[in-house]
Amino acid sequence: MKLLTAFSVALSMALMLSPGSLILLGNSIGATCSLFLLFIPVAIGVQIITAMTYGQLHSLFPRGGEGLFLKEALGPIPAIAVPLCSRVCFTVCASTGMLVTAGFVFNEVFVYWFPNFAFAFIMLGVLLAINLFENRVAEILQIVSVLTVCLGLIFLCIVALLHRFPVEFTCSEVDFTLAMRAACLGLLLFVGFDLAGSLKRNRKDPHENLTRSMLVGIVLAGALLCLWGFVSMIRVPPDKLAESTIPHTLTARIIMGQSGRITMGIVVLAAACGAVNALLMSVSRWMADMAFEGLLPFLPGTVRNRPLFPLLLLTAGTASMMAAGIAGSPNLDTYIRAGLLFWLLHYALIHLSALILKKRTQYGPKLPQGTGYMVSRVLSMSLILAGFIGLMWWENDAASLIKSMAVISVVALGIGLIGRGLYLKSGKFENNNYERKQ
Amino acid sequence: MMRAKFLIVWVLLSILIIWGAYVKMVMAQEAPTMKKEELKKRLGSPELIIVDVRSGRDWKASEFKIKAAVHEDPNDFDSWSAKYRLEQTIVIYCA
Repeated sequence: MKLLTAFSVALSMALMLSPGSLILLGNSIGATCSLFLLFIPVAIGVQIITAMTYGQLHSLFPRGGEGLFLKEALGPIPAIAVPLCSRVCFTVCASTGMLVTAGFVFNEVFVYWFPNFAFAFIMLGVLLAINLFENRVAEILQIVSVLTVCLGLIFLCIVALLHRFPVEFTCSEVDFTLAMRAACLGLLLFVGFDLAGSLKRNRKDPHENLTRSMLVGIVLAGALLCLWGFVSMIRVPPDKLAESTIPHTLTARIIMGQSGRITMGIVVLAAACGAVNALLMSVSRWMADMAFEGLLPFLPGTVRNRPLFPLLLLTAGTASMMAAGIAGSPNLDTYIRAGLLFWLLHYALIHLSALILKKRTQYGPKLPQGTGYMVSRVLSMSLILAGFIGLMWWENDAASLIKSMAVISVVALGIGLIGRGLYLKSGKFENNNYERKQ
Repeated sequence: MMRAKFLIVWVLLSILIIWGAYVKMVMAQEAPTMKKEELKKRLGSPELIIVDVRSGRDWKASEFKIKAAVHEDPNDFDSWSAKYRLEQTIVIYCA
């Protein structure tokens, strides 16, 4: 039971401590300095409310997956299209990016002669094999990866705070647009805490345990990111931090030289391993749940405890992107940003679902009473939507982002409509409610 | 049945990877190359231009960037190629 709790906390923290988060944090700290450290607690607050909403909705539908409460509140097509837009697209694109990043780190920091391309493929293959054949090993690997990231960052922070450095940097004034953009970016740092939700069927009391795991994950990751952000701010010149494509490595190198570089290399490898493992594991389970609930066409080999086909599909997608050299294309980052924005939108729709279900007589009484509930959900949803709009508005290459979001939406809606058609045609789930089938 | 499906997916995946590696290798063979020792000797010469054409993650994730190198987008060749003279030695660096 303790291992399961540690595993679910590790799952919820994996994406928040990914290499991408460290880059986003470093660049934002460089651009806005201490102001960004004030935005992080606000983002934590918003995502804590989102996590609580998740927990309450999971308790309303204890046996079904997340697609079920989206379907009840918003209808089947959003319930199919929204997770496909956010999670599935993000998993394939972000896994490609993180694996390639891990390949570069392994090649440049540890073994110069080893091709980065080969390392990325081996890492993906090992993660697939572990997830296919040894679930227990995958769970332990998840805990070890996240623990390594935490310990590595804490170690570097302690060294940075204990040692005396000749110069500590201060920031110049930050303009309003930059500050607002950074505030919106802060929300992206905490995307992915809901990965722990895929463990719902392993839990006797999903509301209590899952909410606790997600909350612990958000708070721990938030505290660690704040600490690392503070250390980066006082040890690295802000302009260098803002411009660097690897601000975390730059900070580590300034703190401890070659040893810091190696420590950060280990952190990045563990972070990439943890994040890709968490994405493959959770998103494949979600896809299996959606197929089980009739929201996706039946996926061969999909059984409740072994989402074989979704796992192969996600891995094949990632491998194909790496083999096609997409990692070297700037479009990859655009698609990752699009996936993250859809994920934010997904959170806003979770709040909307809670508000809609609250109005229904069959669900309303089971949700918390009082105006505080409604006000906090409306506020949280508004802030997430404001963040979404702000990130679109201040995007440097808005045309490419909108284009990629349109492509993802069309594909997901197409799958949603086909899925819906097949679902109705099959007649397998005539009683269109998984809850009543139990 | 399940085993056969698993095998098919892996065969397809392997074909894809080998094809990607083959295309990369063939494309790399077409360009004349310069040894790093020679490049080191000529560093600092005004007639030598080093262009880093890595893009996306290949450039962003790498810690190793030659200091004198200019970073250009390989997909946007027309917009920057005119900046350099034909008499100059242009070293294109992509990995």
